[in-house]
Amino acid sequence: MDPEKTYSMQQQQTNDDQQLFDLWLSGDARGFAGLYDKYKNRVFGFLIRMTGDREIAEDLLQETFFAALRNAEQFDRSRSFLSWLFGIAHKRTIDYFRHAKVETEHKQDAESAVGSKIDAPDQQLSNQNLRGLINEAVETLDPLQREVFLLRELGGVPFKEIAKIMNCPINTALGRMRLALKNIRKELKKRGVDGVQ
Amino acid sequence: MACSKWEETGLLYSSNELDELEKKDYEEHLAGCEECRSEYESYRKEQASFFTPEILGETPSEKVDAEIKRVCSTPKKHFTSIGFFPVFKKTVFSVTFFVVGFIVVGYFSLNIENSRGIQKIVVEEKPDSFPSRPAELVAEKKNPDSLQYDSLNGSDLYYSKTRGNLQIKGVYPVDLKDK
Repeated sequence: MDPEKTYSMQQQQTNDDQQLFDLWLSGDARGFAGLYDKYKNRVFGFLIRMTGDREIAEDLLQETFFAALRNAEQFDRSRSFLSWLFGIAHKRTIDYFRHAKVETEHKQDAESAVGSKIDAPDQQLSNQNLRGLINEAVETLDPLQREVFLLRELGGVPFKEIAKIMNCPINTALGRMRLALKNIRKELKKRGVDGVQ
Repeated sequence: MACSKWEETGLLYSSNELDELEKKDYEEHLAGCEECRSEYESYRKEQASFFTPEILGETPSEKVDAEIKRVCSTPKKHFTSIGFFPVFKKTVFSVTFFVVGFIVVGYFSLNIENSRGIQKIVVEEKPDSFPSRPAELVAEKKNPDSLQYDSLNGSDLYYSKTRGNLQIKGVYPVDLKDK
């Protein structure tokens, strides 16, 4: 797909989101319901893969939306709502690791913890094989690579914003993304999925 | 290993973050570079088939859904800085708090003072070096409690520097030498 077409689709989506956002701020519950139903799975997917624990991810999901509610007046209309929401989700995740002081453990235990705890809901899905394989491949990534990958692919956050969110140069963010893609392809190949036909 | 141009600008091109000139430049390169084209197409296909919200997303439990919707659906109740009323309410609360506090503290401090029966008499003492002060009064300060004749006014009154005019209070000096 042409990036130009993708861009115009994203622009349309941004406008729709801002309409829902305004509706929400005006006190209409349909505004929030529209935004929440549209993006809850993406944000939750990000949180569950970053923390490796379903319950913690659910707590952080609540905190993310509550923080969005509290800081709604700070939302910059020139940005996309989803990018802003992922920025908040990223901060919640960092706060969680900082507070729990489990960053080191997280790095060490990421593979086993994520694999064991988020397998259950996958089994109920019709495309469980592909979904499971891709999730396994994502879980093997280094946390920083995984974060850039998820912010970009789930949140649609531009690389310039990812660099800002993660407080690193843009080339570092691009480098992490390239490594993430390379490692995912390698893992998928190991599992018998050899590229997209 | 992919072409270095892909590593530098391919991902930015895919996410539409290049300016017009850079984009045109990369598109020209893409047309002639097999490696970049292949990388770009693979990535677009992966995005369309693998890296979708349906595959990477997760569904939260209904309980969490319900709680978030309950709290967030009515933003007006929770925003404190949007709208005039919440700000006004805060101001009224602060002002009332200070006024009530001031009244209560003032009331008690006055009562304590009254109950002790303290009457403050402020005596302004002029500095010794003040030019209009009579020399005899300056000397007298060395023995402030002594009784002496008020020669300044010529009123035949006796007074003490510390206890004031004694004659008004019914105290008269007694000459011990006569007795």
